[in-house]
Amino acid sequence: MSVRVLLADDTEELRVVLRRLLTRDAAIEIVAESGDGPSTVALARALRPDVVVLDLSMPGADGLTVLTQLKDDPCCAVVVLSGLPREYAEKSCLEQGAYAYVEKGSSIMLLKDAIVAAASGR
Amino acid sequence: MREAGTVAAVRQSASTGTLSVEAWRRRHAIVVLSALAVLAGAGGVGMLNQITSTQLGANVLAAALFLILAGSDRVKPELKALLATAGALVASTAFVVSAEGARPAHLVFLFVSVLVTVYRDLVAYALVSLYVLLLYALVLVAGEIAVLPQMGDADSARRWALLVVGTSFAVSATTMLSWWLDASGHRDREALQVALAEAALRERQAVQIHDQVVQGLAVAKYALESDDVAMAAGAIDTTLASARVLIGGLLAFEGGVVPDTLLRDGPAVLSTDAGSPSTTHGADGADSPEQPSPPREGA
Repeated sequence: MSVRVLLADDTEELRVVLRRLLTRDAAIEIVAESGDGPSTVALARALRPDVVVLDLSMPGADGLTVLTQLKDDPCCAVVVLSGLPREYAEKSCLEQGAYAYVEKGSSIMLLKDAIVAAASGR
Repeated sequence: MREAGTVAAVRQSASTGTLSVEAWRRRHAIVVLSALAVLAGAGGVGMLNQITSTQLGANVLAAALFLILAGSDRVKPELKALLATAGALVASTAFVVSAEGARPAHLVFLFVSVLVTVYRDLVAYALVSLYVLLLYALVLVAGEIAVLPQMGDADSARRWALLVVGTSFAVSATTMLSWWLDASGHRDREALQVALAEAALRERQAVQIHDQVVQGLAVAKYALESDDVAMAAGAIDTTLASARVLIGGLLAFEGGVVPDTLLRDGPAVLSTDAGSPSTTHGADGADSPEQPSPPREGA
């Protein structure tokens, strides 16, 4: 059974390539994409994916705000995928309930592993 | 840069250290209303004492004129304080005249000299000080003068004049000094706010630039991994353009390039052999030192 993922990032091109790379094998299914904070929260609550891959810098509401709103909701685990340096943002994300923090540009395998681990660990 | 205007406004406020427009208006209204009250008191006391001198009438008219002008929107703001101060002084004189020079009436000059310090304006304060000094210099020189018949004999009048002048200067100077010390503290706080606002702005700019560049490079890298060379090239072009816009805006805000702006600490490094932590990620992740953060407890 594949892991159902909501992909949240305001850069459409990034969503396109991530969808392409993450769905190369059947282990991951992208059930929806969102480009801003409010729609991410709404889609997460409506679709209840296994994992939300969440960018931090987004319009409407940033990733930390989304994390705060999803913190007490058992709908899904969150893997933060951000361009910000790990030492700058990781601690805050984990404190707000993120399962893992992955820097953008990291290998796609690393992101896949984090997604699968988050889905099985939640 | 949206924050630039905010920082500039705070910086301008800190550099002037003046009252805000609202605070100044409130204080100006207090001075004008107080002067009008003194003027009304002068009229009332004059009627009680049945004073009909032309000097009193002239003082009342002059004070009223000054105060009307001080309240007019057509007058320049920098003149309003002086007009209100002049109105208050002339009204005080009218009050003393209408009271026939009774000693307690002289204390209105003490009141006015302290009152005008609320402007934090040295010119207005100097005007009051000079006026009080000249007025009582006449008493000191001439002893009993015609408009102050109730001040008693010459020696008694001199002692009273010295007391009024000395007390006025001592109290008003202390008040003025306290305003200035308070303004100094205010300027220090605003300077600190400017520093904090600029630090916050720089952090936001750094984060924005970093995020924009990393975002573009990440798209390019992932596009290459998925064999989409066109998308990778497009992402790099877009990232370069965005970086130029961001840095261009930042340099324009900071006033452009000056000597040493472009001085590097060392040569630009793009090679992964240079040991830079940000360039050690392997393309396929096989030899990458990067790891996702550990799962949170209980997750």
